[in-house]
Amino acid sequence: MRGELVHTSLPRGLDGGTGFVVAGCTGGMPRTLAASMADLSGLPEAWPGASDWDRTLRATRPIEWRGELAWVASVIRPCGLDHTGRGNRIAHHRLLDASETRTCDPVSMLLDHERWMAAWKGEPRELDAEPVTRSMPGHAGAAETWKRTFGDAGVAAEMLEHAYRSGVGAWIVVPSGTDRLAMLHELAGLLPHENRWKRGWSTRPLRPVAVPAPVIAVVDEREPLVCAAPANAAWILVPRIGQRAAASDALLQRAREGQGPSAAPAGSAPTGSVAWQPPVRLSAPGLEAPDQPERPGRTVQVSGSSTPAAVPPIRVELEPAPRSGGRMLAWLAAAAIAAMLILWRVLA
Amino acid sequence: MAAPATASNPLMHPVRDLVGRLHCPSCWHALRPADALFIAEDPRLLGDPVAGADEALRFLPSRFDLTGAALDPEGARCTRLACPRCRREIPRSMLELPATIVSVVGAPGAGKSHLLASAIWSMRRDADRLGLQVIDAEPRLHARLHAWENRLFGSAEGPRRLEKTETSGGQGYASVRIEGRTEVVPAPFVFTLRRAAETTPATSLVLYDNAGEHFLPGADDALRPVTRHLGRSEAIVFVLDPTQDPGFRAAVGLPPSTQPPVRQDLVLSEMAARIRHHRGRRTDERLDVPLVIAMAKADLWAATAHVSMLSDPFAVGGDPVAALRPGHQACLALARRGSPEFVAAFESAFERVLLVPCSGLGRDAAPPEGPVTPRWAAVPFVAACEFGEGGRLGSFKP
Repeated sequence: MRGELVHTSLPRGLDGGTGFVVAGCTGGMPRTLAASMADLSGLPEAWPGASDWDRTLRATRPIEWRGELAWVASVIRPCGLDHTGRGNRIAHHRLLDASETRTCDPVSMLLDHERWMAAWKGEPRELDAEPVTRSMPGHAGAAETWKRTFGDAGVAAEMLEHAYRSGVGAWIVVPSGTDRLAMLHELAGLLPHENRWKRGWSTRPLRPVAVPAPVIAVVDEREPLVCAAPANAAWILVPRIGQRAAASDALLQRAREGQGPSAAPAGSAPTGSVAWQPPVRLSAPGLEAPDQPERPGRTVQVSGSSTPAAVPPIRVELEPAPRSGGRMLAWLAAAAIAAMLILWRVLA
Repeated sequence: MAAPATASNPLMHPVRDLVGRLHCPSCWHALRPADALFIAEDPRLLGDPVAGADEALRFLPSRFDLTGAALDPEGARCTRLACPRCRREIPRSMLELPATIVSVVGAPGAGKSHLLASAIWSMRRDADRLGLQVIDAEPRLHARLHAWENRLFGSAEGPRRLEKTETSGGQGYASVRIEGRTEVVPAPFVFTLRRAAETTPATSLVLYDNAGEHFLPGADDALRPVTRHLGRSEAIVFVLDPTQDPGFRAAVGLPPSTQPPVRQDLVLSEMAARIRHHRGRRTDERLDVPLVIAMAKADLWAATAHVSMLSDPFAVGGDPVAALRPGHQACLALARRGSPEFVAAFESAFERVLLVPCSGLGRDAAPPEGPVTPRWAAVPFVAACEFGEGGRLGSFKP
């Protein structure tokens, strides 16, 4: 299903309420789905003096609806004062369908600024959910913004490895003033297209609560949530300027040299000169093979920290194992033997 | 000569009395103090499957030190407690003192957060005069309130308006993962309340400040049980903004507003319906929970309505019932003239209603300059606390 929802403060909303209301919504969207999307509309508090650009939250996040996973791309930004004279924000959400996630890179969607509303105009109304008709390939070049910021584009590869290993998402803390959206774009571009939709992406810190898929965020060092977080938080990664990146060779090479202009057609695995290797296990958290020994808490070693932090698996949901062919054969054999025994008794 | 051993030996300290049973202020799970989980203090024990990966592990202790503090699996001494269901932190005072729960209700934009911040600030400063002392039970959990107070009263750049309260996310709510589903629970403010009269024991004061949108019809459900405190509260402070109502504006001579009116009577009726649902009351039954209607922004209309806020109704030694009655009657007369549908809504639903004029800012909010001078901001909240058994308004009849 595809849908669109805008949540902001108005004198009258689509449902007749006032204050923070649904200003626009795709016609026919179920109420529970609209409520789930509206719940994503909160804008985290920013540091004093943060600009509107800094405060804007751009994210792709999964929601659970009717037992299925759906992806929502959101841009939530301040938009002046509302009718009561208080600071307002507008949250524009797009519920993506499978065709869009097949052809579009998540962060490229967030970078497509024309698609996102900056203010609500007019009366509350139903919206037409226009599909993304063109493909949006991800970043294919070298991680130049990471290189400018940290001196080595390979830092992006190292951070990506740690972020995947976290299992609850990660906040990658970058110096103030850096282009977090560009860094996020380059980070996502290191992954094969299909794997980019196994994680959420964000430019502001989101609490690492139990969500269906963890979110990787590139966040400013002045963020209040970062300052208030425990010192040994396993999901907070702080790369250092001038540090020597340590990651798998293929990923490092890809971050430093890119895939070349002809590589990575949308919707397929990258085919550049660098053969991409998964940095760590790419299975979603909690979906590890059942025979894998695991402690109640998984230990994660954070870059630059000597203290391991235990992160208990938040969501353990084992998919039912597909019935193997060997087991079916065994059942058939047992049934045949039983039938033969019955036949033998009858004949005897 | 050495001091008696009993003075230093923690085993000889008197046993602390605990309440027999309490309710988690976030999810309303009923528990005995012995069921409360402890929150690990060892930095290696970070992450809880329900509270979130950024919260310390919650656990039921099996080892204690001599002072009765639990030891976490790594041996660190733990004193913070958490609810066994939602795993949100419960201030220790709630296990030791009976709780007085007060819900703050109002339409969006009525000024609940401004009034609450001003009220707590006034109660902190005027504790002696009010005969009531409020102390943060766990200051760490009140960062949002402290930021409001600093913004209104402690900013070097002068007072600034508070941001609009978010309906989700932010510090006012917490997402927890309970039985495979994500639930949003409110984060209350918990204070220790001490009265000047030594005969009255101290209590825990639990205050809830929701976004006004949560009190609109249909805004509370099983996954967002953010106003379930209405089913437990001992008193309700309903913040009424007369300036949002055309009838009130006309009654006090204010020019018509350019904004669409907000039906505050419907918010009150929705609140009464939720209270009935959560407490299992009959539809035609009037509720016995005291309702204090804080008629906000009184600086704009008090003079025209002949309402005085000069005296101090809760001055020690005075008679608060007599002091509050003129204001109550003047506000009631104004409400009957300006918004009879609102009067009908509260008179049909509540037995005990007190109307109190007040102003959280003491001036128009539009110009940012000028000091904030709250007027009677604390009165509705003190009144809500004094309606209980042994309180100074226990005998109040409307």
